[in-house]
Order: sequence, then C-alpha cells, then structure tokens
Amino acid sequence: MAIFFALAFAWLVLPSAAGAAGESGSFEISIPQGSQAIVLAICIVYFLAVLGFGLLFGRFSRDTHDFFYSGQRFPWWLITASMVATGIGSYSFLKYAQAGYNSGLSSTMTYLNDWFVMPFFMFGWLPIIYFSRVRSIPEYFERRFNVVVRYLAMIIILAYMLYYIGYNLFTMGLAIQGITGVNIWIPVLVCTLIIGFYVTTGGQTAVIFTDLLQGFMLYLAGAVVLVGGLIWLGGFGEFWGWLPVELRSPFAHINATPRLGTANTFWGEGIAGSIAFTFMNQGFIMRYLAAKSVNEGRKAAVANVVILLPLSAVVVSCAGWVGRAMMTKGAAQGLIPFELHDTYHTFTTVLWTVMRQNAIVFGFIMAALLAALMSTVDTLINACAAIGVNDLYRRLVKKEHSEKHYLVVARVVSVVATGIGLLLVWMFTTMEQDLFNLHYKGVMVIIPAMVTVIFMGAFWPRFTSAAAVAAMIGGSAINFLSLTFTQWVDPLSRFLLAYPPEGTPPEHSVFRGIFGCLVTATIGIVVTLFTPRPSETKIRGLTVFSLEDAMRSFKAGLPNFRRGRRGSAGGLAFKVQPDTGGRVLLPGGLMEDLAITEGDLVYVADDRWWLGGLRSVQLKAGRAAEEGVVVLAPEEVERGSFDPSRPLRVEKIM
Amino acid sequence: MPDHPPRPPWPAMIAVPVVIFLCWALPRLAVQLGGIEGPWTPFLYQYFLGGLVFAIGLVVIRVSGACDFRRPGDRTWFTALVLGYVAYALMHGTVTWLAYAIPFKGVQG
Repeated sequence: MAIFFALAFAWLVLPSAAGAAGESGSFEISIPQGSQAIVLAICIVYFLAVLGFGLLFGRFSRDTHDFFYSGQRFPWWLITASMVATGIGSYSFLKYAQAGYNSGLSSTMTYLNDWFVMPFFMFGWLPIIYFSRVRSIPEYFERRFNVVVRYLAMIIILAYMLYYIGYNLFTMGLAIQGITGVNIWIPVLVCTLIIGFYVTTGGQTAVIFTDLLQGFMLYLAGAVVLVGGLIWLGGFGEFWGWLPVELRSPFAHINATPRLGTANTFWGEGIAGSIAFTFMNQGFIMRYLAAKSVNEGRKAAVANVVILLPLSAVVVSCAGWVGRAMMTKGAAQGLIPFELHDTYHTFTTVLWTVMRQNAIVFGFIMAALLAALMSTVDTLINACAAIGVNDLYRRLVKKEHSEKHYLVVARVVSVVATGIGLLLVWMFTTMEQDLFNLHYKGVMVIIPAMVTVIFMGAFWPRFTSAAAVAAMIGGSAINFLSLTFTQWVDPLSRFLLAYPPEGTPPEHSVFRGIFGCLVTATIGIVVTLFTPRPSETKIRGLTVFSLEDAMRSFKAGLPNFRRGRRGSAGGLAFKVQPDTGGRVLLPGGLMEDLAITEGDLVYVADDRWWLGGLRSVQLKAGRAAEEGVVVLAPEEVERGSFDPSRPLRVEKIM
Repeated sequence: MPDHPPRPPWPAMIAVPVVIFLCWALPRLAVQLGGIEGPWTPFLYQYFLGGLVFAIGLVVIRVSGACDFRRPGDRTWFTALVLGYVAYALMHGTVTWLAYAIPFKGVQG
C-alpha cells in the first residue's frame, strides 16, 4: 500500500513539466578527458573505502535490535556526528548552492529554525519514544491509539521515506550525469548497489559509522569550497564587501519572494524540515533510539541544532555565496570568473573555478557529494527495513520466530526498499519539474497530517483514536485536494502575512505544510470532542503528561534520581562468571560512589571512549560478592563484544 | 494505578483563542515595528512567532510535569533551552546587523 502511495503520489503530484532531468543534462564546465578519469578514479576509491568501512562495523549486528537500534549504546557525540551526513542529502549541495547564489545568506533559513520546537522534542517526544521502547512510530500509534492508526501511519511514513530514497538517488544521478556525461542510470545503479550492500549486511551500526566518516567528508568538502573561494576573492573582507547587501541578510523579505520568503519558510520549512525531520523521520528517530540514554539523546539534539545545523547550512550554501561575490567583484573589474547560465550548476561551477580546475580536489569533493547521497539513503533504507519487519512482517506474517530469521527478513526488506527507490528514479526521469517544486510538492502533501497526529497524540491525552483516524484521512485528503484548489490555502496565507503582494501569484508549495496541519488539527479536535475520552491506563506513559510512568515501565521499577559522587567510573577490571541473573554485579563501593542501587539500569562499556560505545551493554545492576571487580555473565561479554584484557567503564542510566 | 480526574478544559479554552490572536497580531506587530521592507522585519517575524511556539513548548513541558525541576538535570536542560533561543536570536541579529553595517564595494543596483 505504501509503495503504491509513494509511486502514485510521485505520478500524480509531479507531472507538470519534464525539466529537471532535461535541463540538468550537463554542467557548464568542461572537464578534460584525463581529468574526468581522475575524478572517476577518486570516486571509485572512495566508494570502496565506504563499503569496507560499513562492512567492518556491520559485524556488530547480531539481532534485529542491533540491526535497527545498535542496542541503545552510543554516546551523544557519535549520534550527532552521524546525523550530519544524514541531514545533508545530495540534493542539499545542489539546491542550497543555487539558493545561496540567488538569495544569499537567506538560504540558511531552512536549517536555522529548529530551535523553536526543541522543548517539545527534548522533554516530550524523545523521552516518550525512548522510554516506551517502541521500535517504530507506527508501533507508537498502535499503543497510543489503535491498529488502524498504526497502519495509516505506516503507509504515510513509508511513502515519505521511499519518496526521499528515490529523490536522493535521482538528484545524485543528475549531478554525476552532468559531470561525466554518462547515462544517469550508471551512477544511480552503482551507488544503490554499494549502499544496499553495506546496509543490508551491517544495519544501523554500519549506517552510523559510515555516516560518521561521510559527515567528516562533507564538512571537509564545504571547508575546501569556502576557503578556496575566500582565497580567490582575497579574504573574508573582500567576500563580504563584494556580496550585495540584500544577499547578506540571513532572512529573505517577509513575503515578496513566495518560495524563500521568511513567512513561507518559517511555516513551511518549520513543518517540512524541523518537525518532520525531528519528530517523524524514522531514520532520525532510530538514531536517537540508538543513544545510550535519554540524556545522551538530548545532548545529541542540542549539539545538532546549535552547532551542526549552522555549520551544515554554511557547508551546503557557501558555494553560492562565494560564487555571487566572485561574480560581482569580477564584473566590477571587467572579468567574468565563470559562465553560469543555469544556477542549478552553481556548486560544481564555483568549485571547479575556485579549485583552478584541479581534478584531484574536484574529484575529492564530488566523492563527498556522493557521500551526502549515500549517507541519507542508507539511513532511509534501514528505517524502511525497521518498519517493514516490525510493523508488517512481525505483526502480520510471522509473530514468533528466531531473531536470525527476522534479521534475514530485515535484509530482504532493505533490498526491496532500495529497488522501489530505483523505480521512483525512473518515474522522476520521465517528469518535468524544477527540483525545488519536486521536493516540496512531495513532502508538503505527505507529512502534515502525520506530524499533527504525532503532536496531538503526544501532547494532548484527551485526543482519541477515532479522531486520529479521521484527522489523518481527512487532513491528508483535503491537503491533497488543495494542490488543485490552491485558493483554499489563500486565507491562511493572508492571515499569517505569507501571501505575496497583490499582483504576484502565490506559490503555496511550501506553505501548504501548515495548511495541512491546521486542517488535520481541526478535524482531530472536533472529532475528539464528540468521542469518549481514552482510558488513562491505555495511554499511560505514552503522553507528555505521564512520563514518570514511562520511566517506571522502562526500568521495570522506580527510577533512581539520586546523584552519585561521580557520573561514571572507569578503569574497572572484570571477570566472567555464569549465573549472574542477567545482571552486572558491581562492587559495593562503586555502587555507593555512583549512587546505584540494585536493579538500577547501568551502562557497561569498554573504557576506550573513542570506540563510542561499540563494545557495550545496558544491564540491571546487582551487588558483587567481592570488592574491586565487576562481574559479567559470558553471554553479556559476548553481547557487548568485550575484550577480557581491557578495563570497563560503568555509568548509571536510571 | 487509579485514573486521575480529567483536567479542566478551561485553560485550553482560554489558551487557544489567545494563541490564534497572537498568530494574527505578532506578524503585524513585526511589520509595524520594522516596516514591510525593513531589514529587521523578517528577524522580528521569526523570533516573535518562533518565540510564541517556543514559549508554548516551555509551558507545556512544565505544566505536564515532563520537565520537573526536582529531577536532576531538568533545570539545567530547561536553562539550556532558553539560552539556545537567546543564542540563536543573537546569531541572527549579529549577521543582520553586519549585513547593513559594512558598505558594499560595488555599485548597488
């Protein structure tokens, strides 16, 4: 059903003109044959390196819990770093460099409006999903509402993710086609095979570690373009001085430019970007669920929004800003630094110019562009597999089976998701539409109903199952119809001052997001008021009003909030002993030091911090008979991949 | 565990119209203060309305008990949230100011 929706949606929503593929057929730079070979060779080496890296870490996946959530063991810095590459898609470099060239620093707006929803996420959605131990958002919906809502959510989320897989593959194919002149299907198929292989083999652990590498590559790529551009221009003062004033502002005009106007972006991107990525994107949710605790998840969220999103905004946009300053300065001096007939090619054209046609550096950056694609798509494929196994197969096909069996199914679903992505690429190549419209028309119709129901479910205990069903179906349908009856969106657009000045045709592709949310919320509120209140027992621990219950259920006991003299203790020797009762046995002195009582959840990890929790487990604490040594059962040593010769670190989780 | 009595609906009945009114009034206040073409108007728009969303979030997490200052770390996280909002506003404000404070070297057209 979700596959049908993703395909039908792409077919119905994006038919208006077949431009993206056609107009982007070639970049406006001419790369000599020898240089093309160098670029390709670097990309191939990079591909192989990523593949090897993914497979290296993939061996830590033993069951579906590891395959999807990496066993809830990673520290905040690893989660954050791996999210960089997930958040930057291959289209980001093309789209934002183009926006940066045309609109200046306001291209960063879409990256920098996430903070406003952080209270809802850090103290609401994150603890709810973490403590309730749900494996997917649809599973949350079944527990909070009923099975009908679960499957509606599953269809919407799968459609959203499959759409993104296809879109990312498509934009990457366009980029490579433009540089090399090869058929779009060659890079698409090669990338798909590589991603499919390491995701299928290694699961979430492979995804997180390859994304760590890819994120580093992306930032390095951005730094190379920025520094190269500044050197070309003669320093930051020259760059800023030659950037037209109207392009220096971090905001666009409030409503004059319909697409990137501040009002449109605030409401539209606030929905598509901030809320959807944070609350609904199964790939991101799984990253947070891979954190060793809610606290680490919060740290990851803060670091992501405060540090990494601003950096990412610069990385993907700077080619456009630098290119515009170069063009202005060049024009004043009677020079034309580069030809740019179509601003879609801004990134590659500026890069080629500032690198002074150096094929090695250019090849390296193009490898990073591919990194952006692969790291977004790998997360989505793994997320699709999580939903496919947990929400479809495990529920409808085989309820009780071995973990090994489910692991095989997860791999098969990964392959299927990748195949559907390829099918969508084929559909996109037959359509004419600019990339911006392609992207926004897609996400703004798919997501509003879903994010609204997530919000209402998590933050309004009175919200009922019947209301959730009505809101999702009604909200999606009306939002879809607003593609045809665009005048429905006008009143809200005027109310929020997002409507362009008279005489300018309104462009609602971005703004439609908030319209869909409002319609969904209205239906949800009305139906809720006419249906019986949900039982408090049923929704306990699943709304923001009952988090204490969620914590209690997560720990299977009363949470222990006492602070110890230290947060964690390292350098601990351990011995292996059977029959520990599934617990880690800790010396009494250590338990006192960390304020741990018997039955508390503790995190036991290899003491080497840079392993990032790769060798770790979460266990309940018990008291050891002897001081000075930690005791683990053999199966826990195996589960944590511990090296008997290496000391451990212990930390209280709850 | 016994069910808690339903929460009274009146806080929401007051809050919803107030929020709708603010969604209408704040953009107009931003335009009133900065002028429709003014360089600071988009900044005011974003931080007025974003501030409204943010404030609702803070109220919800406090009222619901999701953020409980008796729990270790919650007060720190709450402070971090507020400081994050201020930091973002300062960052955007600084870049907006720099945009207009440093003269353009070419011919403004």
